[in-house]
Order: sequence, then structure tokens, then C-alpha cells
Amino acid sequence: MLNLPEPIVTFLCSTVVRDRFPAYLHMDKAGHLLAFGGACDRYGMHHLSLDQSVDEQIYFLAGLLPLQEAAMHIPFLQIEADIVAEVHLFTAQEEDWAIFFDATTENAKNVLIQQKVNDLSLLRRKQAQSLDHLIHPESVAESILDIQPAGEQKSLTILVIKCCNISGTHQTTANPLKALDAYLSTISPLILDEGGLIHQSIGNSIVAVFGALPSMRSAPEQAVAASSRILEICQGDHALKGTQAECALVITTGRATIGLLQVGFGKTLSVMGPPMEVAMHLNKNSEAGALIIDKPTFDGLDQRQRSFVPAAVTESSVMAGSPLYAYRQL
Amino acid sequence: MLQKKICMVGAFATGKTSLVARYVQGIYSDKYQTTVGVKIDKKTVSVLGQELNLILWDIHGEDEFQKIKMSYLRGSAGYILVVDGTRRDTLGTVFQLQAKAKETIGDVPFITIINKYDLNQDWEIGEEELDELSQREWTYLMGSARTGLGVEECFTKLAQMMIY
Repeated sequence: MLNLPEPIVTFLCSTVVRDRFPAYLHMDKAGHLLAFGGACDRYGMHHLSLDQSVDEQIYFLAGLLPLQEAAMHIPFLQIEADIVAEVHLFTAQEEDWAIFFDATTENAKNVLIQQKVNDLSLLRRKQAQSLDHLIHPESVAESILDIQPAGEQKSLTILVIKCCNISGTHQTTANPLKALDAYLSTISPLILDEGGLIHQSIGNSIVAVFGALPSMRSAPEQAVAASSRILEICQGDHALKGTQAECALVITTGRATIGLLQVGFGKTLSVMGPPMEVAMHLNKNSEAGALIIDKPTFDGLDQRQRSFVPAAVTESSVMAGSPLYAYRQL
Repeated sequence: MLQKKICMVGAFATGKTSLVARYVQGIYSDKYQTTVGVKIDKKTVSVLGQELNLILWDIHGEDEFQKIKMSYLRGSAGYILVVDGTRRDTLGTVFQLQAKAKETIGDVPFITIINKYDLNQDWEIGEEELDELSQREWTYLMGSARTGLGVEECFTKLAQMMIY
């Protein structure tokens, strides 16, 4: 036992009793109710009769008693429409006990988190499907993107990832297409996780767009979060499926036109405008292991601004028409 | 009256809660609301002339963070494996869950419902998958919590299997 002073024990007990509405049942190994007490009514356990079968009186315990294991814990058991109980079943002195605590508030918190997790998983799956449609442009998931077919002006953040060790002319890998596929399949989930869309693959570069999907975070925050995860993977020991990973990343932000283009019988996503042009320009001279962002992206960051320092002025930065910032890992 | 515990198991967002709501209350909502833990419901039915009190344990969906505790299935007279017909991978999940369930509670009757048949334009369960279910000699049916297709039939069929 913990060595706790009596006032602390008293305080803890009164807090639990006040906030968690404990109730208990005491049963013999034949499943008959020997005693009960506490806030039984709260958990739908009304008019309990001693020496009667618990199975018959408390329907949600049917089948669980007598306990086959030493203890069983059900963290969230929704018994009544608006009451969730935490249930502990255990055996002591060859008799079974059940303790109930109110877990309604805790459950509500968990539901919020789990709902977000599940929604994101489903969204990620839908995005993967729409990526598949982009690669095979029979159709584009217009309903997911909610983009006007005529196109619209939006503030978007463009992330271009150059896979440095793949080249069409200087073949440093045995199979460049296979290597690009390895990059794409590793990088795509990270981009999708952070709320981005894979726009297209051009040569040895992958272009992603942030800000097209609704999000609580700013598009620059999302793009930088995805980039730092990509860099982490590239710099880690875990090379991309056997490929020596080297990436150069560029992020730009600004207003661009996003829309759907008719391609053959299907439609494909199109993004045009200054941030795309600047990103493609900077991508040409970007160096392996570097992450360069433009000023609008930097301005759109919150805490992550501290991870960037002004980049040296180069011909590229002059062409970009805005100061550039380089990522430094803290 | 006989009480029979039935567990709903499957991957997350396959429609377990919606199937129970359709069966017990005759309602359906398009809004997806995840289940954390277990929701208990009950329904009294007459099966083959016998009154049964079905205790329905709607167990949270399995995903990479929430794994189903097989001890929840203890005392079950049967269970329903729920597959989302628009997500092929949810079939793989029920194959794994059924193996674990068998390990925990033995050869208890179960039935598989391939839910969301109203979205059959997005269907990912084809002949190959259905053949696999047949080869395993599983009882399965197509259903939709939204339209009610196969829902009553699913629970009734399982109840019959539990009585036999």
C-alpha cells in the first residue's frame, strides 16, 4: 500500500464518491446476488433482490458471471442512453465482485479523439482513392475536393519534393521508376496525413498541394509538418524500401487557381499561379537534405518559425522575388 | 425468458451501431458516430415460437489503436461479423477477429453481414471474396442499415442458429 496520510485518503475517497458515483455488487460463484450498494440506480440496476440470479436481474452482465478469469475491466460500458460506466469485475475470497464508476465524461472525451482518428483514416483512404484516380484519370473525386469545375482562386501552399538520387539521364539507381515508386508510396501517406493532396509527379519530383482541403491548421503549417517528417525519414537509418533516400524540398505559398481539367474522358486536378511557378523554379536548384520556404510560407507559420533561418541570397532567391528561409533542425 | 448475448464485431466504421439502431429502434442516421467501448441494447423477439431476450453488445470497431478485447465476447450465444462492402480490407479484419473469437469462446454460431449495400456503386467485395466466404462455409448476407435490407434477416437467422 502507498504510504498516504489519512487526510489524503479521505480526500481521495470523498472525491471518488462525489464524482464517480460508485456502486457495487457482491455475488457468489453460482451467480446469486449476496449484497449490493452505492449508486446502483444510476446504472440501470433497479429493484435488485438478494439471493436471486444476477444474470436475470442485470441483463448487461448476462454471460459474464461467474468470472472465468481473475479480473475483467470494461472501461466504457454504455448501459443507459446517457450513462457510461467503467466496470471492474474481480474475484476475491472465492466470490465475485463488480464495481461501477461513472465514466460518462471520460467517454465523451475519448469519443472526440477516436472520432477524429476514424474520420482521418476514412479521409486518408478516400484521398488514396482519388490519387489512384489521378494516376488513372478516369475521374477525379470532385465530391471530396469540393472544387468548382470552372476553377477558383485560393490561397494554397505548394510542396515540391525532389528525389535527388533519381535521374532520367544520370542513372544512380538500377531502376529509377521503381525507386520513384518507393518514394511515392512512402511520402504519400505523410502528405495525406497532414491534409495535403498529391498533385502530380513531374520527372523525379513530387508535387503536393495544401489548403485545398478544409483544415483547422494553416496550409504552411501542414506543409512544413509533412516536410519535416519526410526529412526525418530521409535522414534516418530506414532508407526507403532499400533506396538510398535523398530529398530536396521547397515550399511556397500564395494565391493560385485550382480547378479540374478535362483530360480525355476524365478530369484531373490543375493548379496554376505564382506559388507553383516559384516552387518549380526553386526546385531546379534545390539541394539534397534542404528545405527552403518562401516568405509567405514563413509568415503563415506559428511555432515552427523558430525552425527556420534566413537563407543566403542566391540567384534563385532573387528570381523568387521574396526572401527565402532554410530549415534547421532544432 | 431465455436471454442470449450477441456481440457485434468488425472494423471501425463498418456500421455495427447503425445495424443495431436499425434493428432495435428502426432508425438510421447518416452521421457517422464512432463507438468507444461497448454499447448495450436489448430486444425481445419470437424465434421459432420461442421468446428470446437478445442482449446486443455493440463493441467498438477494431483499428490500429483500439483492439477488441476478446473477453467481451464471453458468455455470447452468437456474434455478428460486420463488413463494409465498400472497403475490402474490412473483410480481412473479420477473418482475423473470427479466428480470435473462436479461440476465446469456441464454436459459437455467427453470421457475416456485408453492410452498406446501398452504396454498391462503390462495392469492393467481388466474386473472389464471396467465394472465400463460401469456402470457409460462413453464413453471410448483403445488408444495408440505411435501407434496412437484410438487417432483420441477419439477426433472425443468427437467433435461429443459436436455438438449434
